Amino acid sequence: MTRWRRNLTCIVLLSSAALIAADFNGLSGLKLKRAIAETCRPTSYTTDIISNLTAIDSVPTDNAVIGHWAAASWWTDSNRIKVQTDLHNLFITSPDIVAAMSDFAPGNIETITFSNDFIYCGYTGDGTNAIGAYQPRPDKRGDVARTIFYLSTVYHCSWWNGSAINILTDSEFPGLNASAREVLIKWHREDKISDEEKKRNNAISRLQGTTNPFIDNPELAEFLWGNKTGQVFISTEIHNRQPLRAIYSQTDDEYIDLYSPYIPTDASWLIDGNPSTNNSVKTQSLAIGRHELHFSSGSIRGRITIEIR
Amino acid sequence: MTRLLLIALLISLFSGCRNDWSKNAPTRDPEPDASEYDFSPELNDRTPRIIGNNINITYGTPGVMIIRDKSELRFIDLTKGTTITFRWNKLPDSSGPIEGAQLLVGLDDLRLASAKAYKVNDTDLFVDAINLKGEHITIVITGL
Repeated sequence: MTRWRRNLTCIVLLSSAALIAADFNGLSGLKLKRAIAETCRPTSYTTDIISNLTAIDSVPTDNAVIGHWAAASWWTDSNRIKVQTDLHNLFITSPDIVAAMSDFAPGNIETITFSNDFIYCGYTGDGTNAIGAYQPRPDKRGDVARTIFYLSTVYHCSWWNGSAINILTDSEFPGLNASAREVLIKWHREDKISDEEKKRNNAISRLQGTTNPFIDNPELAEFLWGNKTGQVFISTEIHNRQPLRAIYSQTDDEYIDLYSPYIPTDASWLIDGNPSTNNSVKTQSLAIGRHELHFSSGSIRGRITIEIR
Repeated sequence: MTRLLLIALLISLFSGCRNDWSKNAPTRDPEPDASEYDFSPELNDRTPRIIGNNINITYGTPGVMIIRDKSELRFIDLTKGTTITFRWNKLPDSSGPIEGAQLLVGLDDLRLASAKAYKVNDTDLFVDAINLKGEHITIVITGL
């Protein structure tokens, strides 16, 4: 597909955003990917990356260097700034690891050129088919897989350039090439989501407005790239929708459902001034305290204050 | 002399008629003199609220929702389950009497004697409503 045709596809997709359901149930294939892309792209990007990341990961700021699971050079100049500053893609590390990772893709290393207790860097295979790759320690591989799932879904393929060709495809869907799918789905299945990864996801969403949906709904990856590819997605984490109320608790299974019998069902929402594209928001993705929700639908406008304790 | 008697007769006739009209008019407590009521402190407080006539609902309390549509605004306390609705037929452009003003608590009409907007724009509405007992009810919505 030529570049201009892909760009045209992007325009059509963006203009149809309002028609896409805010949750993913009942969707499959391309519609599912589009819904994720439209609802999970950050609503804001932080500028103070080091201090935010070190706070989230509870590491000291001294000598902190930012690492990218998907190299910044994978993205075209005009879009690089967003991917470079998307905290889901970033981690605090050391300069030697950043240098060793270069612009490599995740993969299973066969020829090691750098190693420590966090990561292997080197080449997959040998000879002419070998590509530069990194392989994190086992308890981080699922985290990396879910990050790449997120990036390849949220940022459209027309944003990628030639450096990403070892892992990303040039088509709009599914975005990952066959070898990347095989490696990353395996990593995703073998390294389950930890409490630490969930907490990090929620902390980032407090800054950027959106979570990584592959952490919220781990089975989502199977419907895009795994053994349920093409099937209709039905979340196993469906909860009973509750109308808005005054007080919420910040527990693992508590949601704020942006719904009330007093408000039109097609209302659009702002949470503390940031657009919300999801019908339900985890209370853990918001700070303890009071939050203001704005809603509007046609001539109807309104707001409500809620409190998370 | 005859002319003077005729004038006196006409005056007494008109006076009598006016008394009859007054007797037929609906009874209503005298409205308070608007000039005596100072609404300016209310204009300095932008907190959305309805206060007066035993109503006291203020936005900012968790669970209090405010909704504005073309010809009504509603305060809903989701915790207490109460709904206060202020409706109108026509708002003045910037300030002045509100036509067809109605204040409902749930479905009960509180029956207003008058409602005057002190400030109206695209997002704000400051209203002094007066019930049939002459009590003031302050209705404020801002930012919507």
